[in-house]
Amino acid sequence: MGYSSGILAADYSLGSELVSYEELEQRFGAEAMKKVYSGSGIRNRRVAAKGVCGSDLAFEAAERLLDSRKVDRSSIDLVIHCTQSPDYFVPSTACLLHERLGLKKTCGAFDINLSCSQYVYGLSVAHSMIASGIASTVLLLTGDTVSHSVHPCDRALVPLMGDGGSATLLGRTGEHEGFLGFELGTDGSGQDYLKIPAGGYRNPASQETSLEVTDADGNTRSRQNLYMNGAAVFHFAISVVPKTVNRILQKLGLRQEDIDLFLFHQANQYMLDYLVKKLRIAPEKTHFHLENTGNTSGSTLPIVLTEACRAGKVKPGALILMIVFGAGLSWAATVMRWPENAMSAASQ
Amino acid sequence: MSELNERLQSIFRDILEDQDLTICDSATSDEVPGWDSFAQVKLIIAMEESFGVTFTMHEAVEIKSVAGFKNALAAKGVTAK
Repeated sequence: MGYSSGILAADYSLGSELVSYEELEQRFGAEAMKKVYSGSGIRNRRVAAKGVCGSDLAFEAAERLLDSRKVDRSSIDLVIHCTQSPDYFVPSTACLLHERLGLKKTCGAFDINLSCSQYVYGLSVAHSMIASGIASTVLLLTGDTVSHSVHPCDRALVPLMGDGGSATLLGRTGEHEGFLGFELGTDGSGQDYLKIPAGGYRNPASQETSLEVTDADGNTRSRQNLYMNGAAVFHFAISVVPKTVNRILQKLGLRQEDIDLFLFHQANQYMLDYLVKKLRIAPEKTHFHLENTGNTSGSTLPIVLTEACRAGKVKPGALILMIVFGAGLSWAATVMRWPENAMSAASQ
Repeated sequence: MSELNERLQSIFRDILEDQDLTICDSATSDEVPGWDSFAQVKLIIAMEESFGVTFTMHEAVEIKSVAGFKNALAAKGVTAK
């Protein structure tokens, strides 16, 4: 038993450039985009300009959060940055963000390298740090520029992906508030289904890995671009999410009807609708926010959480179940009771 | 046409939104219009719900023909009548 901890505030930022439905109609054709929109529910996506990094989006979100809630920066004793698009291989991007945000020298900083599941993993680490007494106030950041890894002629991924960053402040809460538990999982047998095959140490970037190939579905990419096998990832998600929801509820001795709000990784609307239907969740007990942002990888959950706060769906005492899934393949879920001392949502 | 073939044809027609579609065992995802990765997802879900079976993630990727679906269903105890 340690200290209880929870989310005190959250905010986010998006890439500054709009890639509109109409623009992609020109690139991929009206029929293709009609089909993509009906399946994904994503009409427009916001992407980062060339040269902007995931850390820039995280920084913007952090500045907004710290300024709008008048947070004393000297109170932060750990900053964790979740990303798969770091500024450099070395050092950790969290160290750069620590400097930019003007945090104290006795504040720890490190990265977590995970894709769409990063946020709940980050929450679990932040919670563990607070519960154990190693830290008392943690700034959890996410930031990725996935669109920069996608080939502009990959019709399967371009319409889906957006760029975003987020900042979440965590601290101690009342005894029965905050995080009640976590459920983590991995299936490495699916690692090839969502991957950038070259550019790391295993397969360094070369002339060969930069060769562009167009597949049978008309998607062009090189081995240095992000690849997704949509059917595999979709099937993985719809299989693992219901099982994980049931497992964490059972672990915590809760029933599904005890949960006030279910928040999912905002991958695509067809998948979300399927999961809500399969889990028999009442529409008012969830929240979506992807139509004009796109799938921002690890930032979708803090984004939808922030928007649910703004929509008035997150109230002190509410039980919230959050679940994420993505490359790895990796997944994680948590249940938390929204704390009384949480700061109110900042206006847009 | 066997009951299994009729059910498969009905699923394919619904998912691919083509009520005139006639499927045969040798038909593959490369040949059947509209059978792309999104349709594959819908087909897998429809098969799971219709036949009360569960496909693995790897099967969802590897099945690329009508015969592939029939073989996978047979391995799960669903056979032609």
